[in-house]
This record gives sequence, structure tokens and C-alpha cells, in this order.
Amino acid sequence: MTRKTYIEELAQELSILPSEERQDIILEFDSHIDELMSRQPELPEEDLIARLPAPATFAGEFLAADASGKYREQAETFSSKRASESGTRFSSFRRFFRYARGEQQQLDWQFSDVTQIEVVAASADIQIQAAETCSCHIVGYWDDDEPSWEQTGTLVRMNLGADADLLTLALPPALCVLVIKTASGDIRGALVPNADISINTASGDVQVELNHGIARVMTASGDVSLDGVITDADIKTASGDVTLDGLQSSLRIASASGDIRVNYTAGAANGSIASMSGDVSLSLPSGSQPAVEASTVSGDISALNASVRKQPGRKYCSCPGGPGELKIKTMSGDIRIQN
Amino acid sequence: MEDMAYSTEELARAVEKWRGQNRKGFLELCILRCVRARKRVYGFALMDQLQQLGMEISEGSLYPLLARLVKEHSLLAEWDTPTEGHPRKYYTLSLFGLDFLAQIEEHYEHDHQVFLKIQDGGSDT
Repeated sequence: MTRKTYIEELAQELSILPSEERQDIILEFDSHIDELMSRQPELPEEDLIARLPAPATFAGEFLAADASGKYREQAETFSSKRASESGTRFSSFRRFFRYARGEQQQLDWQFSDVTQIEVVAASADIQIQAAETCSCHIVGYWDDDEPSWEQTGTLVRMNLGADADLLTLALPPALCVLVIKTASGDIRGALVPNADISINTASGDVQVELNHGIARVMTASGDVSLDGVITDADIKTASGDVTLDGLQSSLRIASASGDIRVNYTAGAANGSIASMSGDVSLSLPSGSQPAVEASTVSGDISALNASVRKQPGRKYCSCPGGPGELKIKTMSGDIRIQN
Repeated sequence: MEDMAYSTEELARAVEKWRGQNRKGFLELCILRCVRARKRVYGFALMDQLQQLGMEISEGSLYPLLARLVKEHSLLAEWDTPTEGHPRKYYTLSLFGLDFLAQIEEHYEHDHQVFLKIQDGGSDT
């Protein structure tokens, strides 16, 4: 078995877990295999994989650990917190009937003196837009699980519950950070200048325009597309595609099978990209020549005009340069870097 | 009851069964001690250290156990994505984990003393 099929089988066996948890396990174990391979570079990939526990057995241990954790958590009344995070799994039956139950409901909230916003949601789509004041509009079908909020100083926390469908959020000019945690809703829109964003989603797509801000995004299967002016990006995804257009400084991207496309528009390119089977395509501002180290096990490399060397089990290319330093690694994905 | 003959397989199975029953808690204890000693450690390094100390531990038992210890609030986990190399998930002990470890260490010590006393004083009693 190859590393790629091993990881894919493991992901399949773990499919009952919430995708964020599953992605976490896979990223961690992928990093483990990476380290095993670098310790024993002479060992063929298939032999190394054969020494690992079978995906089904391995996954079974995780599911057993998950179950025991859950029972204890319930005993400690931590369950309500988890239920809101993975609410979609348990309430889908109830949600199926909610449209027949009542009228669509709406909420409007206004806030002042806000610099930080945190949103926790299950399946609601979220639209953000720059505005003069901070307000929001929520649409959904809820009765007991009504969306709620609290403000502590300049921080506003919203919990949309499981039954909200759409949040339209108007961001004030003074906003510094927007944090969003959601299971399956999509997140779209534009940020105000100098605001950072942190998004944690399982299957929602992310499409956000930044204006001199930092982006931190974790998704399992959602696609991530960021544009505008991005000063720093930290992206982790299992199967979602990543597109960054307008990056100006450093990046860290880890992906299992999603493709990665990055367009640097200015500044020194710094950072790392690690991908298993996804292709990596990087475009640099004309004339810029950062130091590049790229390696792949079975993919192809084309990096600026640097020559690509071959060793048993990997191809790599290392070219000096500066300012900036890029490290790119893939298993089977192709790597392409161009000006 | 009459003593009976047994095969080496039977004996090995019984020993394995006993080890399986004993192992879980012991492994948990060793992992927590390792994390405390190293303050901050990631899965591969932890496995490496335990194996070097002579413990039979594989990925299949380590990672699910780490996941459970995080869920049970004994360990904290955070991702470190360095500019160089692969991202790693680092584990540290939580305050709960520290106290939990201190208490189970006491229990383990106590049980171990009992075990030693039985060995030493076996002929006296």
C-alpha cells in the first residue's frame, strides 16, 4: 500500500468522526509518517507503510477513544459545549421538520465599541461586509435554540445555535479580529482594513477579501479562497482547495489532497507549504527570487529556472536567493513556481 | 481439580491477555510522565523515547490514547506550523493533568510497594 492510499483509507474509516477531528488525526499522522520516512530514507515507502497499523484497526482505536471520552464528558456535563460544536450530527432529524413547524424568524442586533467579534454557528451561512457601524441580521427557523450574544468590553460573542440559516454581519471600521467557528455554513464577504480573520470550519467554503490583514483558516473539506491584500496566511485543510491571491508576506499551508494556488503580489515570499497529493502552484512578483527548497516523492517540480535533481525516492530543487525563503514539500502533488 | 498439561500457545495467550489488561493504565501513566518530563512534546518524539526506554508501543496505541487524554482534559494539544519542515502537534500537561498524574503516581507507587513486599516477605508469612 502507498502512503496516499493508506491515508485515504484511514480517512474513510474515520468518516464517522466530525470532520475537524478527523482532519486533525490525519494531519498529525501524516506528519508522523513524514518523520518516519526521513529517519529511514533507504526504506521503500510500501515497506514502511506495511509496518503501520492497518487503517481499519487504527481507526477503531480512535473511535473507541472517542466514545470513552464522550461518556466521561457527559458525566462531567461538558456535553452542552460539544453539542453546539457538532450540533448538526445530532439535530439533523429535528431540523428536517423545522420548516413545517413555524414561521421564518429574524433578529437584528446593533453593537457599539466593538473591536473583536466571535461567531459560533452550526450550519448558518455567514456574509460579512465593511460598514460604518457594527450590526447583524439573522434569519432562521428556531424555537428553543434561539441565537444569543454577549458583549464583554469590546468583544462581542454570538452563538447562532443550530437553527439559524443566515447571518449578515456588518463590520465596524475599528474591528481588529473576526473569529468564526462553524460546522457547515459558507463564509463570504470582505473585511475592513487592518482586520484579521480566524476561521474554523468543517465543510463550509471560505471566500473572503482581506484588506491588509492576517488570515488563519482550518477546514476539513471546504475550499478556501482569499484575495485582496493578505499580509500573512496560515491555512490547514484536508481535502479543500486553497487559493490565495494577493499575498504579501509569509504563509504556512498544510493540505492533504486539496490543490494549492498562491499568487504573491508584493513583498518577500516566506513560508512553507506541505501537501500530500494536492498540486502546488506558486506565482511570484516579476523579478523576485526568494531562496526556494522544493521536494516531492512522486510529483514533478518546475521551480523558476532552477535545475531539478533526483535521488532515490524523491526529486528536489534547491536554489539560493533572497529576500524571502520558501519551503515546499509534496508526496505526489506537482510543484510549479513561476514569476 | 487435576492439574492439566498445557501448550506453549495457551500460555502465551494467557500472558498476552494479562498484559493487555494491565497495559492501558500503565501506558497512560508513562505517557503523562513523559510529557511532564519534556514539558512539550509531539507524538513521534514521544513514541521514540518510550521505545528507546524499552516499552513496546506502536502508533496504533499511542495516537488514540493521546486523543483520549486531550478529550479528558489531561493533555493540551496545539499545532506548530514552522516555516521549516512539517507541522507538528505538540502536547503539554494541563493543570488537571498535572494533578491527575500526581495522584495516579501515588497509587501506582503504593501498588508497587505492595508487590515488592509480597516478593520480599513471601517466605515469612
